[in-house]
Amino acid sequence: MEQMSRILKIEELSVYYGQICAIKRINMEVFEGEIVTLIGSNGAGKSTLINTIIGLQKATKGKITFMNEDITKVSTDKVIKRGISVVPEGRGMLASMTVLENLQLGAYHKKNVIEQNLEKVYERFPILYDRRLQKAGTLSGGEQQMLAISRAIMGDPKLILLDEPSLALSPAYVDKIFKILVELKKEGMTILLSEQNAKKALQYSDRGYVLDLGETVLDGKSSDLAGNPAVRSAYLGAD
Amino acid sequence: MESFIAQVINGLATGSIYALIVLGMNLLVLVRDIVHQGYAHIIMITMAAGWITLNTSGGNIAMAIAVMVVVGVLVTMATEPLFRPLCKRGAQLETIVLAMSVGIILTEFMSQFVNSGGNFAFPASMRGGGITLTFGLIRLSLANIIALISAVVVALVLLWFMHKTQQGRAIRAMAQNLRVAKMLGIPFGMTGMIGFGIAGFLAAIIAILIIMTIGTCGPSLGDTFAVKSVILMLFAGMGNLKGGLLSALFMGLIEAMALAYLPGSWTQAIFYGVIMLVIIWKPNGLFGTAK
Repeated sequence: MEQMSRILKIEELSVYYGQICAIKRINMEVFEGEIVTLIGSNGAGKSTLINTIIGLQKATKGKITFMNEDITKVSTDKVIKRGISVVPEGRGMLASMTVLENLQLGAYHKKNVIEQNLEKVYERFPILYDRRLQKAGTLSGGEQQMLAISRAIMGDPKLILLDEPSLALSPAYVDKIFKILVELKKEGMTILLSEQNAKKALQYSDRGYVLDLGETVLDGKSSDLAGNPAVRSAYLGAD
Repeated sequence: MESFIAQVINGLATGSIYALIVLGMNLLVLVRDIVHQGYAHIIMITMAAGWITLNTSGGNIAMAIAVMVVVGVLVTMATEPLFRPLCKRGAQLETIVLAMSVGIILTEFMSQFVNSGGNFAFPASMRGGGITLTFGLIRLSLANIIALISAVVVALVLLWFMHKTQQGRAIRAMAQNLRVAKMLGIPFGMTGMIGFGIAGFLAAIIAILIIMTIGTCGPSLGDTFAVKSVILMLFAGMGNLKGGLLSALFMGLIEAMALAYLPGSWTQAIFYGVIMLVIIWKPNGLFGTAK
């Protein structure tokens, strides 16, 4: 871990919605080339954390550093331009636009790489080539998730944030999606994902943070977390 | 039959101007989710700027057109920062009030400062010289033909821009899901300004076409076009670019036919009657919304 360079650092981050505390003094690090997972139940603050990293939600206190630059108060479009991409919760399809248009917009800030990255995406997911002129809203849930991930890698990001990628997918597709993430990691991508399906997330990730009511209650290697009795009891369905 | 064909062309020419106004307003629906009825008043102010330039430059048409383009773009873009905070907080009713206020202020401005509030006419040189073309027994105004062709070309270019360029796709993405658009890195402010800038350029083209076909302007022109354009947008489906175009052309035809073949002043009754029926049967408009 020490040899890997740190890509994202979150220090003492707190986010309030009015008087309600959504995130409380979270500290976190993500290193280049790893898959880090955020585990927690509904309302734990996972989506808020992702939205705060990309500037959609304002941080009340604390600091977010990406590639050694402070991005705490940077606008969303500039954060994305610096090399973070997002797969939103619920896949975030632009449903009445075509598959191709969704992919093209994935590289909004990098128009010069669109053609070469389209080829790579079609090679990885031939189904998206077959359906490139179809409206994204007509794809199945699994295909939409493939499209959402493909759209996120179109602009050659340094860090991909995925919010609940397995949500509402069949078990077969859940495995497929996680295997895609492992492939992306092998290609050098860094991934931070929030996930309620803790079992799968810990199986495929390197490290994890367990969030509860906006606070980090545990963190460590995924294999250690998977073996932790508290995690097993709360999130993995073990007695 | 010849008279019928001439009426069709005239109807399409009138409809094409409505089509461009609806196109401009629908563009603003896409970028900011607003019904900017003050847009018609911006066209009116742009025409006034052209008229003033003609009067002060000794009838220099090129200069008048240049001034109209600048005024159309700048005034339209100047209204964007007014709407931005309301759009950010998802206010809808307030944006309607704001758009109406823009329209009323521009109308008042015209009444106070342009030709003492009276109507004014443009010289024949800007109206196609009153030339008519004859095809057998069919006589058509050159201005109407130019307006129709220009409107079709402008509409096609705009549709190409919206579907084939990254900026056009970004505008459509913002209209469809603003949150996702932001997550893709599409800048809310700049994309909105680009949309308003294009709508402003369109306003200048529309102003020129109205000068060519109608030839007069006055403080009431903005209201007249605003009411019909908003209704046509509802008729077609808010934010639907192609639907707005087709609906405006269709209604232009209906108006021309009513004018030519029905007794008395039934034109408006027929126009609004057809729209009433469509709104009752198709609550989302004839072509549905873009969302």
